[in-house]
Amino acid sequence: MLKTIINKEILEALLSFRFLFGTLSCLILIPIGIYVNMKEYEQRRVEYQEIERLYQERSAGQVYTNFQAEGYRPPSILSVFSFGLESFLPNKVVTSENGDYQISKEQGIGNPESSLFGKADFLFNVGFIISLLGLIFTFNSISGEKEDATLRLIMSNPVPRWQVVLAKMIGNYVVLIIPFLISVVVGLILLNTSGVVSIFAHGLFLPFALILLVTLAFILAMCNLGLLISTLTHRSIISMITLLFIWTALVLSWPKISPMIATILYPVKPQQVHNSEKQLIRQNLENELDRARRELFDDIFTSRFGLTFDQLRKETTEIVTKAKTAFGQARATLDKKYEERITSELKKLDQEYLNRRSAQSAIARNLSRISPVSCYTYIVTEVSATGILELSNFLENSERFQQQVKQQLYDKSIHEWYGPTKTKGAWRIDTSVPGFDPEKQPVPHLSYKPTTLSRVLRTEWIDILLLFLFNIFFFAASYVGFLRYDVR
Amino acid sequence: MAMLNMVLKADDLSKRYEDGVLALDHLNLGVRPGEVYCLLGANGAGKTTTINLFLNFIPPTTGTCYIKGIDVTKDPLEAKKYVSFVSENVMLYGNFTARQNLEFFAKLGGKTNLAKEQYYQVMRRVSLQEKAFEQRVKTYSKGMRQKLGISIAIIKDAPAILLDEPTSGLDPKAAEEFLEILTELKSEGKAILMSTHDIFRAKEIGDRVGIMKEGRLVMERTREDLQFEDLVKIYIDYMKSEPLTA
Amino acid sequence: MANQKPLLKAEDLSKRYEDGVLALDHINLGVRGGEVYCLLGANGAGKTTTINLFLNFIPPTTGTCYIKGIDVTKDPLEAKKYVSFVSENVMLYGNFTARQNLEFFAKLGGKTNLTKEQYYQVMRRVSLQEKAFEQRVKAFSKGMRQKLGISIAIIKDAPAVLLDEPTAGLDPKAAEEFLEILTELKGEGKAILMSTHDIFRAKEIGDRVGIMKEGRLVMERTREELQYEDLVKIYIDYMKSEPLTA
Repeated sequence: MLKTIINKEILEALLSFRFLFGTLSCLILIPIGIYVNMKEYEQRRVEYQEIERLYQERSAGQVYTNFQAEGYRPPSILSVFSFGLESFLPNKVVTSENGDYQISKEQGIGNPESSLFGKADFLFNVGFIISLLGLIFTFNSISGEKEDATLRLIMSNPVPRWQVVLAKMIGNYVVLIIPFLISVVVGLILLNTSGVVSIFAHGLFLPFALILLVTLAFILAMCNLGLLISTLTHRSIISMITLLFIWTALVLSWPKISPMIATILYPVKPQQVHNSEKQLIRQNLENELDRARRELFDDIFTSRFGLTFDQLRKETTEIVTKAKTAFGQARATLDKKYEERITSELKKLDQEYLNRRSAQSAIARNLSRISPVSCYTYIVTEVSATGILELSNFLENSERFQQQVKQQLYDKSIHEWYGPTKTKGAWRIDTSVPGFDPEKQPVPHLSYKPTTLSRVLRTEWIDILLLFLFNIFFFAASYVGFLRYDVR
Repeated sequence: MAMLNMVLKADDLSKRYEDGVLALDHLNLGVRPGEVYCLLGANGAGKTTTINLFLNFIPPTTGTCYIKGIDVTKDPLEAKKYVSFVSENVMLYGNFTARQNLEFFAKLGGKTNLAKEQYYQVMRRVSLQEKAFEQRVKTYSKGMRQKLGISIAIIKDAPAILLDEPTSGLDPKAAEEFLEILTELKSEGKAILMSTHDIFRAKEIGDRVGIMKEGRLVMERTREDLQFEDLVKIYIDYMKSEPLTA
Repeated sequence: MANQKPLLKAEDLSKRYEDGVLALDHINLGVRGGEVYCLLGANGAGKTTTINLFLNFIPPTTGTCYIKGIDVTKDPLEAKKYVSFVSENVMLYGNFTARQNLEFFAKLGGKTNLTKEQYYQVMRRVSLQEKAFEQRVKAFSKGMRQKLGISIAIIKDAPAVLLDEPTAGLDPKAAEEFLEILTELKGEGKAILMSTHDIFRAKEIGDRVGIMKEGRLVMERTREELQYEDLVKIYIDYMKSEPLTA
């Protein structure tokens, strides 16, 4: 019995206009979307290589101990499927001797129109268009049969109601998913033959397979939602209006509204304000350090050794040398203390800010999860390394790069500094450790480590679970809806 | 009247809808094998509600419907094996051919191993044109769809048949052909319950005729009775009389 | 029968559709004032096409339709002043009340200054229940909608009335009431052309009865003639005979 109805549903769907429309949409949108994004990725990768090359050229032979190294993030290969936050994520870090590395976004040569309208990447096509298609396939599955009076003919036979609902889900899903999979295969062929990206390359296949599985689950959820609409309405026209309303609310509006609600519920100060605050604190502490050094100078040179500033600068007697050594040691200790203090205070400030940001982000995310499109979007962008996780990953890479350059260069410098409280200026001598040759130093290069799939799964398991639950919920609700459905 | 071998039986059947309307008021009705029972009455008198209760599309407020002795609310899946249904105004699956429609419903009704020629035979029996067998149903006229609906009922070969306004929209020739098929089915021993407005043909084909008014079976006559009475006059008189409820 | 000019006249009317089907084949037909003409025939025989041509819904291939002597293709707006139309299966405006529907169509038909009581009178005349007058039509049964459709035709008070299957789906009482109204309209001198499957009532009400087969008017009988012939038998015989076209 179930098989009979499933076959009928498949045949009916194949003969319908919506199948023709759906197949054309898939075959056109999916491969073209992948191809266009691949070309764009190629361009970004070329830009990245070019920038790295220019940096190396320009810096060669001039790698001093206070050198500001530049690190660049290569574009993510999987951004072919989801452009995500690419235009917003930082991709450049500049290290600094004082520990305050700067991150920024290096703008490539963009296309203003595509920023205006957004990218028609795989994520967009599936999230917006294929989702509508899923709804179209099932929105009047039950209500339409009621209108055509075939539903009562079916129910006058010994057919349990759950079989009717299950058959409609399976039949319509199968007919939608096959042209979709074919178009994905076409897209993959375009990718692999381009020479730019190979989906079977190491490390790419598994994330891609995850994206594909999640996509199939998402499309099924939309089919089940359509089926639910069909069991809650009794005329096709009402089903259609309901479908449009729900699609607009879930796909278009809600994901945009939730972050706005989050900013209202939990406001966070802007980045510039935070940076200025940090700047201020650093400045204050550095001023404090300066005062402390000068007091130390007075303490050691003037009080202890009885020397004057002029004597220090002009004489090279034994007592001067002794004084310099004592001061040098005390100063090193003082400097270190302040360095640690500055680092820890700024870190604390950064951490607090990050926490607030994360809290707001969590509110936005959790609110948005009412829509399955949000869950789907989060999974795909995070797996493609174009999501919010990539920001954290980039910060970690930047931190690591800063440490790398510190070890290679900054720690190799020696600063001597002399200045009493009474003078305005100070007398500095900057040297590097013996053996350090800026012309022979390799230009520091950031070897970017991408996020691992397991880390992505640790945050995204919830969206994967939600997609699964959406399916269960929509199907169960359809079943219940049909149990009490008036078939006459 | 032997109530025991009634294929279709309504026992003290009542139905009150949520909005308070009493659609059926203690209906008692039975159809034996080889008998045609015609149910007449105004729209809203309860004819379609009776059929819907037999098919368990709605639950009764009180009383029971039995198909071949099976309580349709207690064991609907079993009961539905023994009844065929010809609905009014059925569009069927427009993109399927007549045979594909017939095949689908035949399988639902339990006949899973029929040959194409068997489907054709049933369609010939209802005088559906040969060239229409493999044409898409959406091109069909109402009469053709009605014939296909009847063939769907015939192929199930169930002992009871429920028909809701089967001749409405049929031209006189098609209506006469339909009566012939009904007569054949009757002689095959099927119990047939038919709701209709076609008082003239009800008189012709009905072994028994019942008139429903405001949910009650107010009158029942056998064929013999009607030879001596004018059904049309009886009907009009009943309808013109005072409403049963205030 | 007074020798007036027919109010409804089809002269050598033919219609071939784009797909090549010849729906009407040189029809000649006339209905005078105070006369009821019933058109019988299978679905697709040309009855509805004839009515559609009178209403200029489609252009004729050859021939002309005249309403009150006006060529409907040459001056449709003028011709349509003189004809009322009762369509089959009209849902009307579901969210409007009966009176609102009636008012709208009355105004379209030229009756712009009627009072509420006049609307109510017409609805009473067709035996529509008083309480339904200000109820939304989507709650109406088919019979009620049919009555409303007839009241829409009556209120226009046009000399010619076209009806497409007016008794389809009506219970016998409503159908009888409808015949009474038709008889009244006939008595008011209106020319009435009615397509129907109801062969029994066609015989009762029709001053003349025509049978259409494959686009041709193959037979016409007056009331007198039908007293001596069995219309049902004639009809069946014509339908069973060889198709007119190969």
